[in-house]
Amino acid sequence: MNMLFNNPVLLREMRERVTGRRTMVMLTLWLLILSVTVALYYSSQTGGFGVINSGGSPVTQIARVGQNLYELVLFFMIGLVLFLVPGFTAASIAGERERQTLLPLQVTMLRPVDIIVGKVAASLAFTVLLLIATLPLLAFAFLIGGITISEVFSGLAMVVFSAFTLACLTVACSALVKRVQGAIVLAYGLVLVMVVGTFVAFGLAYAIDESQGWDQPNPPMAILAINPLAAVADVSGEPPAPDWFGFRNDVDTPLAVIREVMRQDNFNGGFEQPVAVDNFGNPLFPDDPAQSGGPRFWMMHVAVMSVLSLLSLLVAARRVRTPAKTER
Amino acid sequence: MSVNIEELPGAFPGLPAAPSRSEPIVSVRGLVKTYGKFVAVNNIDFDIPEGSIFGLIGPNGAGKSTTFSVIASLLKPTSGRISVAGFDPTAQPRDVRRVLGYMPDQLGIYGSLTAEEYLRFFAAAYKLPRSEWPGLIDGLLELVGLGGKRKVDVDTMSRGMKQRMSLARALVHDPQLLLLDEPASGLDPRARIDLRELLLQLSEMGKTIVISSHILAELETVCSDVAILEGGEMLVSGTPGDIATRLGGRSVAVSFTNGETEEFPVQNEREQSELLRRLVLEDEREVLSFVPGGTGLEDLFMQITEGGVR
Repeated sequence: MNMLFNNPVLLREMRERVTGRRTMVMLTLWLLILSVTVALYYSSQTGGFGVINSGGSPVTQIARVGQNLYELVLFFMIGLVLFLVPGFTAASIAGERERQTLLPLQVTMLRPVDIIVGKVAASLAFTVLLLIATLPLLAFAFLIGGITISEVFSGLAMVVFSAFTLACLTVACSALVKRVQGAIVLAYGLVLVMVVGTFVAFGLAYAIDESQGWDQPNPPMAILAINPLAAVADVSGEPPAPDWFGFRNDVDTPLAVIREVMRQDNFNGGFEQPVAVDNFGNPLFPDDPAQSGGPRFWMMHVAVMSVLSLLSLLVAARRVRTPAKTER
Repeated sequence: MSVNIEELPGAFPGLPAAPSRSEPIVSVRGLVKTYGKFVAVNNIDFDIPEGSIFGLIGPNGAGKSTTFSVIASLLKPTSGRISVAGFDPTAQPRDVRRVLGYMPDQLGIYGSLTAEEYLRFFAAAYKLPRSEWPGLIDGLLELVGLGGKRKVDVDTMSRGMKQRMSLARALVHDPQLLLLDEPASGLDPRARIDLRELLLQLSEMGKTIVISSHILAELETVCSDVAILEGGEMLVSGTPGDIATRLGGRSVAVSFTNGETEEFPVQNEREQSELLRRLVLEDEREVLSFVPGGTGLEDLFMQITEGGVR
């Protein structure tokens, strides 16, 4: 904790990043855009006290609006993280090199890990500030209903975790590349691979699997293990109860669409499979391992990303450690 | 206002005892640094006496900055033994950093901070007790002549002021040894004179100062010892007088009131003094000026590099 709260690198960066007009402008813009989006969505789904969608009781309908609003806000939050964190972190070490301020820092009593932790925490601080500022909108969704408080916190925790892991990966990019520009390209390239690349690979695996047999395609869910969007989708939505045929319909938000895509997979215990149930809600095939409980997908994501983040921090610390063999 | 930095708070309680006067504070033996096939520094030896102002002289690419980086515990040597105040920079970098203040050839200034905030940041980075920061920062800013600029953004300062800020940063933990890499580059003549006076003041405070430069004139008036590097090789080291003697003596140009100027060969400063006494008292000649000739660092450097002296 001392490494964090007494860290001069963090304090200096906080002063540089969080104070000033730019921060206020960004915060205002972010809240404005998100509030307008939420308001538009809410008004499109409800007309005064009534609910536009047909079918189901008004209570069920409003609960669905609450769930969708929550997922929409969460989608924006993870989008913000994917967009901002690489930009904020990519310059952390490479920028010090470019400004020639790294050498004076390296000859102080700061350890490499102090410098790296300070940089990661500083780049996270502003993003976390934006995320915290979003909480009232999540609270609004919670008040409408359809989601539990634990869902609110688990969704938020996964977004913050994604911000942390992304900051760790990006600080390694920044330490490995000498120029800020190169670090930015590398960091956003990495985000692209993590988010888009894994979905493309997952789709390809699905197509290959589908072409090879008659059974249900079964691409390995591990392909998506580094995808923060998939993890947030998983943690945010308990899929609705399946109908008699075992299908669930919750494709009203981008996160729900992602869940639906991933549900094509038979990952044991991952995204819950369309479990065929009888009239009393009991599984028709309780002995089928694919339909039994097990670790959720987000747990695999957290485990894999925790290891990758730790490795990234070690790589970054190693890169700023002195004495070094070559000038870095 | 002159401030004695030795009286400033901020010295580490566990600071190792300074070595005795007879021992060099820096000792370099057989230092080699290569980058792939390129040899940046090739088997150099030199000692830096404690309390001296030591000039590391050489053209661009001579290996001065690499040597500094190795002494400052930033670079691992390919081979060789280096001792800084009794510590090995490779094995004991944190001990070396406690006794050494390093000012790289680039300023490395955080522009968004005021002078006071900048020094506070480095006081924290050196893990100095927070209670000592105010006195330390006041003293350092006074010492480098920026006492009235404490609330000024470093970004808005002139290059000379930034250079002094950089020097203050290197002094923040009250080091015994200062490594200044090209400290006067890019400075105007006034700022160079100010810097020179500041270095002499620091030397009077007992600091050992090592300066690298390729501009010999700026070192000539301050350095008590020099080492000349070229192409990664150490050509010669010692006091300028010793080096001149090794090169076959020095000379003095004497101008007389009748308009004549004569050059006299001398071996050392004693002979120089004796010559002046003889000319004035014994020969009763009317001396107008008495200027050491051909013994400046530039002359020495030219002689050494052209003559291939080792």
